[in-house]
Amino acid sequence: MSKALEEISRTLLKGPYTEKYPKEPSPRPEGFRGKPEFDSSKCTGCAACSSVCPADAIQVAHANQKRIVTLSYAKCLFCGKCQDACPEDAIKLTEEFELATISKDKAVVAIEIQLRPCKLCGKPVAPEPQLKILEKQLVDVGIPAAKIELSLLVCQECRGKIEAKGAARRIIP
Amino acid sequence: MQPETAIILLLRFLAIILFSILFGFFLSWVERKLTARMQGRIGPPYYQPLADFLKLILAKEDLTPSSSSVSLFTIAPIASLVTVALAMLFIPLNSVAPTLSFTGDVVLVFFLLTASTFMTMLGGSASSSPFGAVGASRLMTQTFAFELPLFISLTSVAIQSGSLSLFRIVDYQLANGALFWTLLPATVAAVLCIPGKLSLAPFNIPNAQTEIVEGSLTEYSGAKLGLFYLANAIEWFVVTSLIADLFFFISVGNWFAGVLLHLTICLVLAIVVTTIKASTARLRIDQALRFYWVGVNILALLGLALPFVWRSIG
Amino acid sequence: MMKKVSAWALKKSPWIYRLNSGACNACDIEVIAALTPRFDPERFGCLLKASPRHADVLVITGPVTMQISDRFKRVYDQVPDPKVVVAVGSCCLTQGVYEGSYSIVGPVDKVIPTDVMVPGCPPRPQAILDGLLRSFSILQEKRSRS
Repeated sequence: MSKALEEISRTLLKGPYTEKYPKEPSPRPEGFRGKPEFDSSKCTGCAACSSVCPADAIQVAHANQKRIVTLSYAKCLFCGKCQDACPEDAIKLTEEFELATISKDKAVVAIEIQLRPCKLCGKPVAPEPQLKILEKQLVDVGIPAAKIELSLLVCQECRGKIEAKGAARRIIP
Repeated sequence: MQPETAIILLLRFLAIILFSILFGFFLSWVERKLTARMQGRIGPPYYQPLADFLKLILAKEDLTPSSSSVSLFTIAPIASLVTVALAMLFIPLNSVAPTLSFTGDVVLVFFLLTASTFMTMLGGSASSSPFGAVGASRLMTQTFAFELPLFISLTSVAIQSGSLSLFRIVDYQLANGALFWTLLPATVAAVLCIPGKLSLAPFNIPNAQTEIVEGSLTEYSGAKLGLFYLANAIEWFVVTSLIADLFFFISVGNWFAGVLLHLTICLVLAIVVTTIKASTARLRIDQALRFYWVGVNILALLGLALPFVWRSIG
Repeated sequence: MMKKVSAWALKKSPWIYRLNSGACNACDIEVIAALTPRFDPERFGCLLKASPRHADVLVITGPVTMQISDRFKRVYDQVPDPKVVVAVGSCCLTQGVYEGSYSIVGPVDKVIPTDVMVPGCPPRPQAILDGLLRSFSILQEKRSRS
């Protein structure tokens, strides 16, 4: 009991060590994993984050020429796998942790990516940012512009039809 | 009795009960704040016990388990509160005379304090809950434990001062000095019985939350729990006040300074008991029994022998 | 006036009861950490009580497993009105990683009405404290409204 009394007198002299949260902000440690946020300038809509998420918190949906990527942080484990998997660094776990809410349907972050419509049939080809990056990479490598146009402006079906027509013309002169 | 004196008596009753509620809340707050500061945290604000009590009485639903004995379940908190408040009427506050007084009222005060604990026990057994039953049995065993040395020290005070009336005991101390010096072992024994009476660590066996949920109070909620809470707060004041009157009476000039001194002594006793609470762990019930019946009893018996020693000397 | 006083008293003295409904214990550890001297909820009047009949705020962790679902409902009924339920952790809100498991009834708000939800796996003690403070205001509102 005497040890306890010593400890008590030391504590009484030093004063309380309570963190004065919420009156003062609480410091986060290095590498803290808080609420994830999308960066709309970088996201290409590749859905790599959705495929690696262990809790299926990231869902990809399509609606009127747009790809909508929704992250429900009520389901999120804050593990950071999406951050590691993203090739464009478009999803980052910020330091925000005060996420208490009264409605978990509102606890989502979403991002919309424009889908490029096919020049021939109008069906979506791929997300616009993805195709822009690909264009730039192909031009750098030296692929001719006509070939780029063929691969990036038409959808899979139409391209298949075009290639088949071209192949048929070569076989049947 | 004249109607005027009846009205004055009633007003004095109400005044002393109101004062004991307020000071009881204050002592309860001191316990919580001091424990918090000793544990390195901030602790509740000064109005906390009042807020707790008002919440329980006004804002919470009062549920009664259907398989409990409803009449006993309802009477227990009321009886517990009434007995402990009644005990306050016999206790003088330094030179302020008690509202009621007669020879043998010390025994009545002790009986009322025990009756209050007994009502809590009854409430626990009437709860039809195993936690209530175990809490009641633990409370009974602990009462057995500390009552013996407490009664023995009371007997030594009665023998030394030659009376069983609190008023006369206080008068004796006014004439011959505080009984704290002459009956030191009895004082120490009585102060050691306070944690047992108030169910504070290391004797918080009856409300050992990790073992038996809340003990006797498990099934209580709302207003009835509020009444038990109030009874506990008044009990703090009654017990510390009683020990202050029995052993630590010091007379000062006017009555107001006397009352302040008395309240200060109650506060000091509360601080001592809180320090013991913050620095010890809970004992088992058999260890508590052994502590009181062997250790504290020896002190109390020494105190019992002392009046005869003083008489044979001087 | 009485209503104002009782609403004030309810906000200043909220008592907590913690219940684990099938969790992995990480959220429980963080809830208990939020009750330590470092974060001291007692400065808001908040005490941890052992009996649900004494509590105002029910703090739940974990998805509701089949084994606990009736007992869980019984404990919820034992808490006297007005009461608030705080669901802590992503398992409570949406079953988290355990979705589709054979032994789980569903997220907490399938079994009892939930008021405040604190996402995280597990949430930081400060985040739990933030959720608790929000629930105290909701408690006061409930009393003022009733």
